[in-house]
Amino acid sequence: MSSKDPNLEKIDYEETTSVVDVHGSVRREKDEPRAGMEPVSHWVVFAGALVLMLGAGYLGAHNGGFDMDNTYAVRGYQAAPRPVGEGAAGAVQQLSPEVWLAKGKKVYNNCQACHNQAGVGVPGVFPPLVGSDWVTGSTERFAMALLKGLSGPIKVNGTPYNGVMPAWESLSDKEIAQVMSYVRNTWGNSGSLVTEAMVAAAREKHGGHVGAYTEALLLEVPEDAMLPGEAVDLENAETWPNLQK
Amino acid sequence: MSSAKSKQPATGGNDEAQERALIDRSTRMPVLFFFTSSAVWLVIAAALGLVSSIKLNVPDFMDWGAFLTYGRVYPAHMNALIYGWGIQAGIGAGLWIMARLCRVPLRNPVTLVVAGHFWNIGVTAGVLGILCGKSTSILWLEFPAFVWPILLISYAMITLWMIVMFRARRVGDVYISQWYLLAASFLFPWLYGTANLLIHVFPGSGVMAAAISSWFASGMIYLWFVPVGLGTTYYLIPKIVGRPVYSYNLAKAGFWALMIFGGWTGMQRFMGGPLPAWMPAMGSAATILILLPMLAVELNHHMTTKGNLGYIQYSPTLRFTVFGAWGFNLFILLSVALSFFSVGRYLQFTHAVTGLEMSALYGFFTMVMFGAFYFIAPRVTGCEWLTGGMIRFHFWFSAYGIITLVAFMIFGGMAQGTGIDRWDAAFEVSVARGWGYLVARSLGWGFILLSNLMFLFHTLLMSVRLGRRSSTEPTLISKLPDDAGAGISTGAAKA
Amino acid sequence: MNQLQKFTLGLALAFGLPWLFLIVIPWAHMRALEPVPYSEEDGDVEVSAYPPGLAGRVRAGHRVYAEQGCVYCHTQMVRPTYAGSDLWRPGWGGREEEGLQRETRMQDYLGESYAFLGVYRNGPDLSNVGWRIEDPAWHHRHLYNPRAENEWSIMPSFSYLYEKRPVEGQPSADALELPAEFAPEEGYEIVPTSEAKALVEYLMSLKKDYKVPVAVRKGRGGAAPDSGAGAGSGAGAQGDAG
Repeated sequence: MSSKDPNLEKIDYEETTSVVDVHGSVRREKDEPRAGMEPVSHWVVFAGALVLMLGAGYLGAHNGGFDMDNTYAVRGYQAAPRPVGEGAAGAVQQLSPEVWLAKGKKVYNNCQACHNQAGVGVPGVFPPLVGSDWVTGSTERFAMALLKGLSGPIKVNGTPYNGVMPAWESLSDKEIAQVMSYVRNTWGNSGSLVTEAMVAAAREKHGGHVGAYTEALLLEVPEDAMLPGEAVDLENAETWPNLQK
Repeated sequence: MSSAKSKQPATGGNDEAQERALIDRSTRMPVLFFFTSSAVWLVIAAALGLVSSIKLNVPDFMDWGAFLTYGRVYPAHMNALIYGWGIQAGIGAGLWIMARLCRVPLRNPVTLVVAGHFWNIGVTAGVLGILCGKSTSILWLEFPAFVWPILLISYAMITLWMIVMFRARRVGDVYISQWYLLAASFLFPWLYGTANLLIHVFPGSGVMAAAISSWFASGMIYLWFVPVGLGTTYYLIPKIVGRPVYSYNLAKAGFWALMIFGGWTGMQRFMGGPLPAWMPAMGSAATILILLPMLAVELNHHMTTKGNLGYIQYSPTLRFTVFGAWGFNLFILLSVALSFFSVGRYLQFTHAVTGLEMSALYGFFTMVMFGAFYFIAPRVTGCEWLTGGMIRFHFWFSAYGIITLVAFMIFGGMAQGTGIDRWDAAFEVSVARGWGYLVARSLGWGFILLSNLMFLFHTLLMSVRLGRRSSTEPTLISKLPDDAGAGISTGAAKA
Repeated sequence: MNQLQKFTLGLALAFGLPWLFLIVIPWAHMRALEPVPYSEEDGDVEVSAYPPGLAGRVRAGHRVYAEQGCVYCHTQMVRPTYAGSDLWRPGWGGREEEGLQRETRMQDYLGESYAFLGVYRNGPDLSNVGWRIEDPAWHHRHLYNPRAENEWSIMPSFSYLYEKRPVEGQPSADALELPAEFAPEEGYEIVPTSEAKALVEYLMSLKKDYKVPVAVRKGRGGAAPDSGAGAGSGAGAQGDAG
């Protein structure tokens, strides 16, 4: 290669077909990399063994028996119960009142055959629930009627009715609490919500009663007698303790 | 042969240099094609990533209808990054390194370029398909079902020529990079074909399909991106510092450990999920065991470069590659941490997963590929990179971008995850906690986009031969000190 | 055997083992999963087999879910308590008050070609959203603009799945009732397209707390995997009548 040719340093593969004149980047390169043969320190082997133990240990602990039908990585898994929550003010706890009332509406399907979907009842036979203080007043009286049923005549809003109400104690505490809450807060009614614990207390007190209640027996309970437990008010989120037990 | 400008060649002689020049010449067409098209896809992927990230900050951003809804932009971004940028960059670098190490020129480059075109057609159709509402929403396989055969057949051409080159190699020791690149060439068709056949062609249980997709995503990382990235670092680092790889036996042990464990990983993404428990457990255990190859690689690189890392100041290749090697270490450590139930309790399903994926795809693989580009491009174009300033810009914006992205996504994931774990608080809490970190995510992608716009521009200049041809000195990231002759020769600085 | 052959064999073995044992064999096994009919010992159940299948429109909704990419923000898997607190969060695990709440199981996804287990939880888990939200109108309002229901939401607006059209005579029964700032102007109504309807039907169908038949639960090595999370209903484990 002549040192006189000023184009040599600008060699480009387009401009020459000769590969004898080679670009500087290739010339300045070092050799292609090669393998060294240093012995591996025993610490490497030691570290490797530790890693293997870690991996194998994890697999041993969580393999679920290599069973194609078992999705649980922990032997003898039982779902841990929900811990008691700190429950920030305003945070939803378990079921929210909206859901509680919505579920009560579902339970009410049992009642609408007699009391009507709109809660107006059947004149002379089944009393209305709209504007009736049998349901918006004392929760204890209301619970008693639901649990054991009613027989004999009853006066609601000044009008007498005479039908038979069956006992609904086969419903769960929760369902009764939900439907009571629903009735107390729909069709223009407004009243506090009923919690599951309240109904449980009612069942404990009155569950032993044999046969249906009558108007006279209900009237023995004071008209402001509320089932035990904090009053739960729809407007005030801070009064929403566990609606469920 | 010598003039005032050129220094003494550091190579073994003119013959060897000629041979290399021949090989470089033969690889030029396909390598430049893959480099250029991948760089374009990187910009597209970064732009889509930025848009999707801003949508997480401001949901009504670019609310122009179905085309850009988050649920489409995000998978479009990931697929553009993986298939458009990642695989093509890896193919480009891999072809060149394999040709050089096998010491054979690449015959029939036209086939490879044709395959590359079909690959691009497939990826374009796929990304547009996702944006037009034909996404499958299957992890890393979101392309509409007609795309995968196109990609598979294109890639098969690459695999074929890798094997052909390898078989035609000059007799001699096989170097570790060749094993890594060969493995990646075999495994992608096997992995991709299996996943698509068992999900699209022979569908079965939906849960198993989800499990297969998580296995596929993990397989792509450990059995394609990692081998190609490691093969590249094993070539570039010893090459530039001019020392042999410390322990070849360690390198081989690391390679086989990766091959053995890599295929078992992936299903821990769904730990605690509706899968037979042993499957995610195998995934977690295998991910922990990937520490073995990581230790091997880390040790080898550390001992190989001991005392010689001063070149990082000057050599773009070395700087990007070493950054990538550290990205690899971080990625492996993060993935091990996320394999445990105690950590997954808080980090599963959070932004931490994004941080993990990006540390692998960008923090490790992409940075190593940048190192490869900076090394290879002058050799296939005949000109040097235009300015060190542009390289500096590219490096720093990428480095800041990816560090911001990964760090804030990991910490953001912790914030978000502890919020989700607070079962008695409203879900809103986890969203509020993560929000600030998502703004940093957008910032990270912004940096990355800027950096790669510069890189694309620079690469395009190179590909049309508009690089610097005024001298044969390499373009360095920063100027050599004036007494360059004393310690470092240009031969060592960039090579 | 030359080097390449040895290498290929080694690689085939190394990858072939997980390919076979982790992927192919489980895939074949799980293909055979079918709904399991309930028997006498399962007590009262509202459906005939576990799980009830996906009907036509729900399948269409599954496709819309995929096309919109819901899976990138929502999961559909409820983790056991050793893996996360999913079960304790109200409503995520299913019907608490009936003691049915539980983690999700493989069979819960039968009928879906791809189970959207999910990878990110930018939004809540949707496994049991069919129980949490019983009014399709809520879903339509939320999809149209999530901020109409939750002001803190970062979910994108799917208003392109809805049609704005002038009211002709009576407002349509399907028309969305939106708060003032999201409602269309006077004389216009927002109506869901068939895609939106399909998607909402799919969301309403997301219920994964069906009782696991005793036949499936047996032979679990002593574990009773579906006991309720003891959320407070005295009923406890599944098996009691609601």
